[in-house]
Amino acid sequence: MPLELTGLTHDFGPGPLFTNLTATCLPGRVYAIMGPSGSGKSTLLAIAAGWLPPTAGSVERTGMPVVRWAFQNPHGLPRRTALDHVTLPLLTLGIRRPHAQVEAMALMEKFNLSHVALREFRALSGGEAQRLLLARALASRPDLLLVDEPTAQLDPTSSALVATSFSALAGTGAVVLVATHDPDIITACTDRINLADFR
Amino acid sequence: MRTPQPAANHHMSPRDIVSEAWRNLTTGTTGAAIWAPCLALIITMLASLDIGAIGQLVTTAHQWNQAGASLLTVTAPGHVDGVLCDALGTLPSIRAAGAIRAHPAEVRAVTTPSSSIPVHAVTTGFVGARAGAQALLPTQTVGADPGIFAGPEVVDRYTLTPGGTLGVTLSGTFTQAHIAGTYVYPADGRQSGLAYAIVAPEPPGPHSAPFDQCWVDAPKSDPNHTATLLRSTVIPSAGPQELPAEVTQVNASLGTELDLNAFNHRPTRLIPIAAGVAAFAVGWWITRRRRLEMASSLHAGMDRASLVTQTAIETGIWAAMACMIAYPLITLSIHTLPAQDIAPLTTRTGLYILQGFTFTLAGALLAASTIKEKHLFNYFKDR
Repeated sequence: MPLELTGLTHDFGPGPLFTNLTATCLPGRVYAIMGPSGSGKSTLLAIAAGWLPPTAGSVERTGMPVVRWAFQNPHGLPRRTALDHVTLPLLTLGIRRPHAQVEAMALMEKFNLSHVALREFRALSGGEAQRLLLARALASRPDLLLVDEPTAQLDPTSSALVATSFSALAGTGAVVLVATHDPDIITACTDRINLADFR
Repeated sequence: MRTPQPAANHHMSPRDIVSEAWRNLTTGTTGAAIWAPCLALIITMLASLDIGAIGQLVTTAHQWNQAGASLLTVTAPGHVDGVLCDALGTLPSIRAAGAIRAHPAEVRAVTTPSSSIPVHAVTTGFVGARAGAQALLPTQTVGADPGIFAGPEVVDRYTLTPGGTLGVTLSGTFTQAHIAGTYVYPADGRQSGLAYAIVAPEPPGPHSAPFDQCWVDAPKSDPNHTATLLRSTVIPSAGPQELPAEVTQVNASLGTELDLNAFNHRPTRLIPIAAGVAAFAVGWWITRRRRLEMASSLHAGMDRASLVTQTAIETGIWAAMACMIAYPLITLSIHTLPAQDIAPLTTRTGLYILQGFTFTLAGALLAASTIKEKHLFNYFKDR
C-alpha cells in the first residue's frame, strides 16, 4: 500500500512551512525530500510518521505497521555495544539472540561496521554511529523508513553504502523517505519531493 | 516483493528481556553503581531520623518504667484489701499489683544488733511470688523458695544473695531468715522506705489482715482509670466519715504522666510518608532520565510490556542493592539502644526498607509506562 500525503499544510506561526503538499509514495520507491535548511523536511518526516499532526491535510499509512526513523543526530546506549544496538530490533521480532546476532552482524557488514561490532556506542565516531542506527532501523524490517540527513557525517564511500541500503530496502517493498541536501543521495533516489514547490 | 516477515505483534522472550536487563546492569547503562548508594543514603537518612526519634521515645518510656514512675499507690492504712489488690494484677491494663503494710515485728541482724531493719508484709503479687504474676519491683530469685526479700541497701550491708540466709533476731528470738530474693529499689527519686528494708510475702486470703497501701504498675493506662481501680481496693470505713484514700506516684521525679500519644505526635511522624515519596521520586526520576534510551527501544520494536518488565528487573535489582546497603547501616544505630528496644525498631527498619524498595519500583514502573516513542522526535526537534 502506498503512503498518501494529501493536502498537507504545516504552519509553525511565522508562516507556513509548506502548503497543500500532496504526494503518493509507492512501495519500492526511494523519495528524496529536498529543500533548504528550515524548509520543513524533518517536519514532513514527523508528520509522515504520525508523530506530529499537520495543520491541515491528512496522511494515510494503511498497511505500514512498522515505521522507523533514522535521526540526523544518532543517539544510543553509550555503554552497550554496537552489536547490541542492531540485535535488539531482531529480538523484538521473536528471533533468539544467537540467530539475531548473526543477522545483526550481516547487516553491520553491509554498512562496513563489522570491525566495531563489539565497541561501545560511546566509542563510535559520528559517521559510524549514524550508519549503525541506520542498520538498526533496517533490522526492524520497516514498511516505511524515514531518514533525516543520513550522510551529514559520512565520507563518500559510506554515503554510497547508505544509498545502496535504501535501494535494497525499497526492493523489499518498503517506502523510503530521505530528507537530504546531498546531491549524490538525491541522484540515487528514484523520486523527489521538493518542498520549495509547496510554499 | 517484500521478504516474508515473522508474524506481527511479537514480544521479546522472557529470556531475552532478562538478558537485556542484565546487560544494562552490568554495562553500567542503568547507573546502578551510582543510584543504589544514593537511594541507600536517602533511605538510611530518613529512616534513621525517624527511628532515632522513636528510639528516644522508647528509651524515655523504658527509663520511666525503670524509675518506677509508672507505679501508682493508694494509701489507706489498715484499709487495703490484699486479695482485691493482688487481683488487679490480672487485669489487661495492669502489669503487676500488690499490697504492702508495715510489719510491727522488730528485726535486727545478729551482726548489727544495735540497728533494726524495717520489715514490710506484702502480698505475693508484690514480689511476683504468685504463679503467673509479675513483680512490681525487679527482683532476683533462685527458684520459688519461700522466704524474705531484701532491699538493695540491706543486700549491700549484709552481703546477701538470693538463696542465702541472714541471721536475725525477731522480737528477741534468733532465727535464720531465708533470703528468697532481692529487689531493686534505687534512690532515683522514688518514695523512700524500701531501699533499707526487707519484705515478707504472705499469701492473701479472706482472713488475712488488711494492708496499708496497694501498688500497681500500669505503664500503658490512663492514670485516672488506674486511680479508680486503686481506690476500689480500699475497704470502706465502718464510720460515717469517708476514708481518705490518696493515690500517689511512687516516683514523681520524671513527671506525673508519660505521654502515651508521643509516638503519634513525634516530630518525625511524617517521615514515613516523605520516605515513600522520596523513593517514588527517585525511581521515577532515574527512569525518566533514561527516557530517550527507552523511547529508542520502543522505536526499535520493543513492546511496552517488555520495556516495563525490563525496567522492573533493572530497578528491582539496584533498589534491592540499595536496601542491602541501607539495612545494616540503620540497624547499626539501633543496636546502641537497650536490648529490649531492638526488636520493635528492627521491625520498623524492615518496613522502611520494604517501603523504599516498593515505592522506588512503583516510581520506575510508572515512568516506564508513560514513555513514548514520540519523545525521540521531541528531543531531536529541540536540539
